[in-house]
Amino acid sequence: MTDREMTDRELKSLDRHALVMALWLGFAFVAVTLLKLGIDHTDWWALSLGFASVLIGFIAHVLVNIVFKTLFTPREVALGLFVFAICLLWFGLAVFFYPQHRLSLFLPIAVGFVALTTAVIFTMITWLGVRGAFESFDIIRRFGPEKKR
Amino acid sequence: MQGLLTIILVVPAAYALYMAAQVSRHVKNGSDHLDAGASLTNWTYIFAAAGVLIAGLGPFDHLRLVATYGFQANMLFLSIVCMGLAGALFQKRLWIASRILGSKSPGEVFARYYDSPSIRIYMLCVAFLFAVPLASYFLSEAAGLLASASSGAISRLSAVFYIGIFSFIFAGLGGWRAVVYVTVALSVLMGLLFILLGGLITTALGDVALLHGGLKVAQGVLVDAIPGVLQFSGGMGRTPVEGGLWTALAIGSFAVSAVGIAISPNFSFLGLTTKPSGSFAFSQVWMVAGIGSGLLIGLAPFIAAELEGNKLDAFQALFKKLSDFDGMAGAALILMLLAGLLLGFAYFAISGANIFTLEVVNRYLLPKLSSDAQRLSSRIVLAVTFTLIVFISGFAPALGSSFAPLAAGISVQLFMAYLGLCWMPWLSRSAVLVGMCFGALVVFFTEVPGLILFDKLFVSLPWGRWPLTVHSAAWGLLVNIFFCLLVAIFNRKGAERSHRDQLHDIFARDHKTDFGGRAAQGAKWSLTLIWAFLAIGPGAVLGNNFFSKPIFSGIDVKLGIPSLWVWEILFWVIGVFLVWWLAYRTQLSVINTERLRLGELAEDPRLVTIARQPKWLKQLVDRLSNRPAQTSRAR
Repeated sequence: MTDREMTDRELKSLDRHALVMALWLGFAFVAVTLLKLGIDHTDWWALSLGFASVLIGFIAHVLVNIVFKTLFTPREVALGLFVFAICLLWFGLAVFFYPQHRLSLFLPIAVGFVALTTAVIFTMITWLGVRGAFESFDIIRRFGPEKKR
Repeated sequence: MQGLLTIILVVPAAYALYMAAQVSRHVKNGSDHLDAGASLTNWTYIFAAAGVLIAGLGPFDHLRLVATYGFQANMLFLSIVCMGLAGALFQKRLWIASRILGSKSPGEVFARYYDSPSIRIYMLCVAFLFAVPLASYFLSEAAGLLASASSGAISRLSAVFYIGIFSFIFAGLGGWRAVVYVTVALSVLMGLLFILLGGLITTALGDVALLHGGLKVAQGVLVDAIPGVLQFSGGMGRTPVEGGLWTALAIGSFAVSAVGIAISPNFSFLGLTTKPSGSFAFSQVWMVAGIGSGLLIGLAPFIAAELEGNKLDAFQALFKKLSDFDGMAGAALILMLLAGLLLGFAYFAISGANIFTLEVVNRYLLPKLSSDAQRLSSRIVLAVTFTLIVFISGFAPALGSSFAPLAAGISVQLFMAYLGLCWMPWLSRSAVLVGMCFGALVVFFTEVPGLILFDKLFVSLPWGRWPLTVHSAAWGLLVNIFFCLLVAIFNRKGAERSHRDQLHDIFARDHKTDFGGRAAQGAKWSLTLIWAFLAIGPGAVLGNNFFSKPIFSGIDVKLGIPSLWVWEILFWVIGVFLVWWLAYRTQLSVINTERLRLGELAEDPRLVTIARQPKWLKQLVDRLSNRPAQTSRAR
């Protein structure tokens, strides 16, 4: 591979990275604002719109992948899973420790998480097929002993 | 609130620094620092172009205008559709000309085509007006907003310095590519936050001010009507205008000045540094005329109704109301306004500095610079530009705000030069130059700096700013067209014609536009003119009560919203269709790269203005650069 080709490939990857970051910067800010408004004011409309912004951000990310003919990078997957797990943990703890305050918001938040999970699974199945999607999470095989050839 | 404000400012700043670091790590070629190797991808243009045009128009000021003048000022957002139209008319052919001539910047394209360094100098002056006074004005407004939002915790002056230094660091590190990436991010952020705020104001804050009490306009201003086709006023500062400033001709002439932003060298530079693609059409139709204009037309009155229109600190009441509701909502307002102002400031300042480096430093001052030295020279020019901007914004903000309106007005005087380059080869160099010079003079003497200069030095002029409620840009363009055509009559078939025809022959051979048959061609141009007449021209006064008091019916219809607003929305929809028709169907903005021959005329001796360094400049540079050697010899 020549230096020039290397640079072009790197630039394409940088281009994609910049676009993804630019989109998430906007959608994440809107989502955080709406989610905070929803929780502070017990407003399930705001909460639903907050989750909708995350979902639209995710769809925009998928569209970027289609345009650039790429998949999610390992770093993006790791960051997404980490943020999702933290939010899920916060939700679980909140329900456990403050049931009287958070009960009214249980349904919209739970539906939001389910919707996001469904979107991710749907995308994975569409892109990778059922087997590919399953194998992405098949940690036992990935870290297990190598097959004999 | 200050903690929240810090966080919302740190996140975009971190993004900017991160992207700048990433770009500098990947881009090794120093000359790419200036123009991103003319290889920016489609999506950057799609988002950035819309953001830059809207930021150039100044949504911050326009919200205040709508709050002060009501729906007559809201009509100004239709000028964004005109920006899309201007882009469709010129952007593609300018891009093709730059590739055929092998030119990197707009000034170089025009200088080569007209074989005239004077046009290059004129374009540099326009780029300067955008890069320094206009950018200073944006920076000053941003710093004032930050100082007001932080309740004085950050002073205006320190905000000016922090933003200036930060912008220099990120632009110097990442170069043009990083600047465009950040422009994209700020455009997306501004658009999404505008939607969010519109939604919050209409749903969450209780009574919607627009629907309960309406816009709190200044006394004597017609809130939901255009005050006539024109008014026989001597201009602002001379005689007052009854019913409000925005007559039909004021709106139309303002749209002319908005076109000045779309054809400015600073904005054209973005197009020239983009790869060949269909991004021009998409951006002009859907992002600029469609989403950009539509959002402002639809949501601006809701936001403006919450402002204290007549006060300097107009946003304070809305900020307080949103902050009382939720801190994040207040922060979103500040971030939306800051995103627009900083986008305008950073983009115009950096593009102007890069154009200066390409056209003056790399061409005349130090023409044989190595790739790395070019990067250094661009950083030095950036440092000088930012220093100038910071000092004007910090210590003489009145200077910035007085000269800023000149930028679009003087830029639109390039209209005839663009027409000549793209469509009319018979417009000669002298015709274009004479028109531009007279046009620029008229703009200068119908704007604040010219009026102050003349009043102080000589006698008081009989007119003020924008006489007869016609924008200075339109006065200038009127005089420009008159003189340009007058001179063109006498030398349209001169020896230079064959020189200019080369480019137009290539346009006709490889890049034809599909206007259709005579009927279709007539329909396209006549529809455009009818649209302009009814939407932003004298016909717009019909919208005052076209829907509330239909003619011949004799009845009053209660719409719930002003008839003028409905008229505006209707012509926005027709305008988007018009831009789509011209950009896509007529292929005014669709580039056929298969037939493009890069650099076809780049080596043609008749079209190449050799990069010759003037003798006096060469001697000066030699003297400065050889000084240590001479000193040592003397010893």
